Amino acid sequence: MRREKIIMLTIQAAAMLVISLVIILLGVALSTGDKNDRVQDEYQEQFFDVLPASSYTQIDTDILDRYNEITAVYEGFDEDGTPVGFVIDIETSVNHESSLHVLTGITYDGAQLTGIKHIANEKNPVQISDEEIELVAEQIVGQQIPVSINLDKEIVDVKPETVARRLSGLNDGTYFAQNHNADKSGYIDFVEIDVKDGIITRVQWDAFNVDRTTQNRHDAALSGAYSVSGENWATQSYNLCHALIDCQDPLLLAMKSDGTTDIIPGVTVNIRTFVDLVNECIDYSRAGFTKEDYYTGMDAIFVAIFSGTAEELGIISKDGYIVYSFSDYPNAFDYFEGPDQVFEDRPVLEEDPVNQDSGINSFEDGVNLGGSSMSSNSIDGIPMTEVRTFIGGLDGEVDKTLVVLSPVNVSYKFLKEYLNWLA
Amino acid sequence: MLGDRRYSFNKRLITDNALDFSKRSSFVREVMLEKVYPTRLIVPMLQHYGVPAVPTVDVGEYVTIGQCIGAPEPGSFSVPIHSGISGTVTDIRDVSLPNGVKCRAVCIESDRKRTYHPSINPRSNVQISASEFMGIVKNAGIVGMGGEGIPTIAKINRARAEGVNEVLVNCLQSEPYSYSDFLRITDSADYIVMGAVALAGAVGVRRIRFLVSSTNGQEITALQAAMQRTAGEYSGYSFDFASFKSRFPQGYYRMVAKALYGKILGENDTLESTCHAVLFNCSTVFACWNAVADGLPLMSRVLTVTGEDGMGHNVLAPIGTPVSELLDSVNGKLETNNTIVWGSCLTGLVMNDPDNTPIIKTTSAVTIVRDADVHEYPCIHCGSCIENCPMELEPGIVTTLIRQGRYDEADQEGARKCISCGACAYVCPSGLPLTSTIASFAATKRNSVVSAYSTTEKIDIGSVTLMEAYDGYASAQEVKEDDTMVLPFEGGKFI
Amino acid sequence: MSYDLKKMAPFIHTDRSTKYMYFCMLIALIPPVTFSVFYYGIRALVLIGFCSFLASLCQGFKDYSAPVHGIVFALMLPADASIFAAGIGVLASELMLKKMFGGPGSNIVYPAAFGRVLVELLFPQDMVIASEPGQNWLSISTLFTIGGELKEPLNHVQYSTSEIIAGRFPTFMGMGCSILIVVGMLFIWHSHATKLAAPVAYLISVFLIKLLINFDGTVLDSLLFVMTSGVVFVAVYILTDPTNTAQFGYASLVEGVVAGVSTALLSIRVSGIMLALIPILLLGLMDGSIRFYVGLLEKKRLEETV
Repeated sequence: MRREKIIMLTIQAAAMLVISLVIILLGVALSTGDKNDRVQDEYQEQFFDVLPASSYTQIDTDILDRYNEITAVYEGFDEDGTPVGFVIDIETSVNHESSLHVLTGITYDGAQLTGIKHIANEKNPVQISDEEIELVAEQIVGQQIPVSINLDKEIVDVKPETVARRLSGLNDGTYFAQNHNADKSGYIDFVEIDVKDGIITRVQWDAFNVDRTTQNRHDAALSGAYSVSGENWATQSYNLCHALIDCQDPLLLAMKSDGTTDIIPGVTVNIRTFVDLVNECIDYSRAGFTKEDYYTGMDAIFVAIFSGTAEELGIISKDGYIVYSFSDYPNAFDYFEGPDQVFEDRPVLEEDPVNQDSGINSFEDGVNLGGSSMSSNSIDGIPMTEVRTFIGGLDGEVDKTLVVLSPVNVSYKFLKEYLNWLA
Repeated sequence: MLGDRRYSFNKRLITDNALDFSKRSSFVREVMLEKVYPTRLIVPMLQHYGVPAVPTVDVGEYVTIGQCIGAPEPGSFSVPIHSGISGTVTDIRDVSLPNGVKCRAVCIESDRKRTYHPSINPRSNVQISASEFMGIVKNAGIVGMGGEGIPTIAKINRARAEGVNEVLVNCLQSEPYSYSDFLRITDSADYIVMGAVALAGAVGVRRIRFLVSSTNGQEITALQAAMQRTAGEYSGYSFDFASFKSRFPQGYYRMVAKALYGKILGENDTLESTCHAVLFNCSTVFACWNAVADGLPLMSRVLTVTGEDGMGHNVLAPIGTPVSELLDSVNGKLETNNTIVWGSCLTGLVMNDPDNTPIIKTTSAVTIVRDADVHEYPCIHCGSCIENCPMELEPGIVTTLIRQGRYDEADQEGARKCISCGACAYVCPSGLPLTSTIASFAATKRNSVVSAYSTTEKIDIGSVTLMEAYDGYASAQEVKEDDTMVLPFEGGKFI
Repeated sequence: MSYDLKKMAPFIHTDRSTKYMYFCMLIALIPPVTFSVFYYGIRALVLIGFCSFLASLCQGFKDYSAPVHGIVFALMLPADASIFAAGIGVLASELMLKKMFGGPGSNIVYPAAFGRVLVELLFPQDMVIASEPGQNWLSISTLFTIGGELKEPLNHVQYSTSEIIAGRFPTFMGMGCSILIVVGMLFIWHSHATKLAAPVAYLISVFLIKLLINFDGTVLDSLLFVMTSGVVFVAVYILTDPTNTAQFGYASLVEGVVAGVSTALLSIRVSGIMLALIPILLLGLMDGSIRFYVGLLEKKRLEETV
């Protein structure tokens, strides 16, 4: 082809491109009205039962990345354009297999449930009938959220091991572990845990000083003698211990490689010592090696090295702790008479099938600590103190009730974050 | 008078599938006629359909304009040849023409004096008899100037023998960039009309039809004006215009037969025998009357010198002008290194030696073509070649057969019917060399012998052989001497 | 006599070479390509570019038929198609259909149509239309998942008329906006690249027959059918290919009508891409015969005047 022809064709190609863009943009302009109408009609059809409004718009926010169960969030407006609430399209999964897909409608302040509607298009639907959902819905629609089940009412088939997450193989009792060496301030950290019915029910993290005239770190922190960056060390310790009670497995504390964690509010100190000691305590619990056994074991060291027990050596503090730092004796713990059973593997975290939460296993970004489990302390990761409404639920079917409550509570959690972010 | 139907050789319902070159020429408005005065001539003895003439002058002899320098051997199928310049004969040597003809040629060096032969005189009384006219035509060496080169006298005689009803004047020149006929008509419409009348009278008919292209309104106007002007010179003749669409190729006798009469000619049919009409090119008609009115033999013609870039010239040049001189006179110094084509850009022949290649009686154009590289791509089976073939062949299929060596099947598909118009190769999107393949195949297969010092067979075509026609059939005034062989009359161009 | 074939007449050549024809088709494809990239984003661009490039690799850049076929194939895919399926389709159409049958210009059916039908049969779950125009503009994940989770098919049913006219409804990538495709057709007409008798006859027959068989439907219904079933795209870009569609007078009309009638009748039973393409494939197979018989009839008609 000759050059002039090629140039002509190139010009024509450019002209075609321009014409196409013009027509496309014209098409967009002319059809947007109809498109919006159609979309709104679809929304109305779906959402009106759940949150009455005259128009809805979809919301986009980064917070949704953390909530895998939530497919989409819509904000509803009335004719004047005032927001009336939110519709959340959420599909919570139960035990990784079946799921429940609902729309929840919540008022604009995030406080009240306006409606809940089942969308029956799950791949593996959970085994709950529509009537059962309806029964629960009757109890919760119009109420304040979050919702939980009234524990005072006798619950027939709640088995302790089915309502909580717990590590397997823990024996009841009190278990104790302390650091071998003092830190540079002279504090020796220790952790003490109580296990009841296989669940860790109390955790204490403190440190005593080799200088027995110095207060324990907890008291020192409270009195201001010991300070760390961030919150008061005592508060941080308290939060950390309670977080562990909530999640049971120290892995779920999401400790990073630098020894800090991001997922416990207020806890900014290095928790590596705590985690190590807790793991030690857990192993002792699995072996049934109680705190007395620990002290007896430690005595064996003193006998071997110093030819006398701790008591004889006079190194027991008034609180009963063996206050000694073995930094001069690095091999001292070779003489420690530990438990008969030594565990190489980690304990298995048992999770109850009914009370499973869906966002799993991504330890990097923050994940719900509580899951959809209900313990005495929390439900779906919301502390019981925050729960506004307690319902009776389905007669004798606590698991199913919790399944229905879960999307409502997750919606609440999302909105709390979203509205806080807005504020 | 003007027919209101438009004829085309491919009448189809929706689209008319022939090539329209009417818009291609850029100099439609440029109708100036330039005259070429060459410094020398090379006049071949064989410029026509038949056998070569014999030179009648010697080297060193002085010749004048209009002097006969070549004459037919008695009884042979040939025509006289005349000089278009005055000067000295420098050489009589062999030339090789691009169409494959090898013959002797008389080379004349011009003396720039433009001395006319004493026998050249305008005729005062143009009311001549038919036989007188035929004698003039024969002696003036007039041949079919549209490219066939058939001696006009032979055509007239055969028309008389076959019995025709009308004379057709072919004013269609459908090749791109060729406008010599157009110029001739608009320039000398009177002569054309009178010449047509004379031919009609000689043939013995009263109807004359001009075949014109519908886009050339000026031709029609010129002819109509000429008819009015010359109306007093004759009586009893009726004129008609047949309007053809401006398409290529047009004007070939088979297509005329189909378009005008709706008849399809078989291989050995002629227009005269089947359609009872005889077709003359308009330049031939002009030459006839030129010979009658001005006493001038056929020694010059109008041709178009053109190029693809559109700068074209219509020139009046003496027969035998070397192409290089032709180009010099119109383009300045011949500086192009492009291909020079003897003929139009669709049907012409490449010439390699412009200095020694002359224009002859049948050359209507000289084209300078850019050396374009047409890349050959695979055939996409689009059927464009089939659509545009005037002979209703399937050029794509025939080419494939030839390339595969299946010559018999190619023959069956009609490869020999190809008239080498070049339409298929022009229109082929893939750039396949269809025309060259088929035409060269057809030429080797056809029994055509052009280069000759001797003749070959004689074949009877129709009821009248051309030889008999040449010498006058049933009303011969000259005594036939020998019965020399004659070449077959197939019509159409051949290589 | 010696003939130098290269130096023989004719010495001029039409500008309408195969390169020119296919180049004009490329330009005529600009509107649907712009449309698909505008509405479907990066993955549309990747699919179109990939298919075009792969096709050209198979055949080379001699005449531009390979990129044209590649782009036409890509435009018939849904936006969520995977690169893998697209590649299989292109390779099948170029290598199997073109090369095995004699190279470019000798394909018996339109290569892109063949490739698309093949991909529809081999990867049905990948060819589901699952995206609305305007969604997921930046996403490219669908390019690399093949038949992962079941996609939910969308169709044009609840979309308003103006959205359909603007092309903003879920369909295959390039087939949405009929107006743009008509712009492409006007360009083909303007540039005289190929003849348009067949596509016009096809569209008119589809429309009329559809009108006839839907007694209770309105003219608008038939028009909407024409716009949403993708026949406009098929008509303008597949029925204008000179290799597979007759280009002269009667034959192209006949082919257009045959294809149009069969498409309209087939629509009673079939929908989707198969509706548009199956008549085309059958037409490709019949193309040679139709040309032959029409030519024969023409010859007879002309000879009757003798």
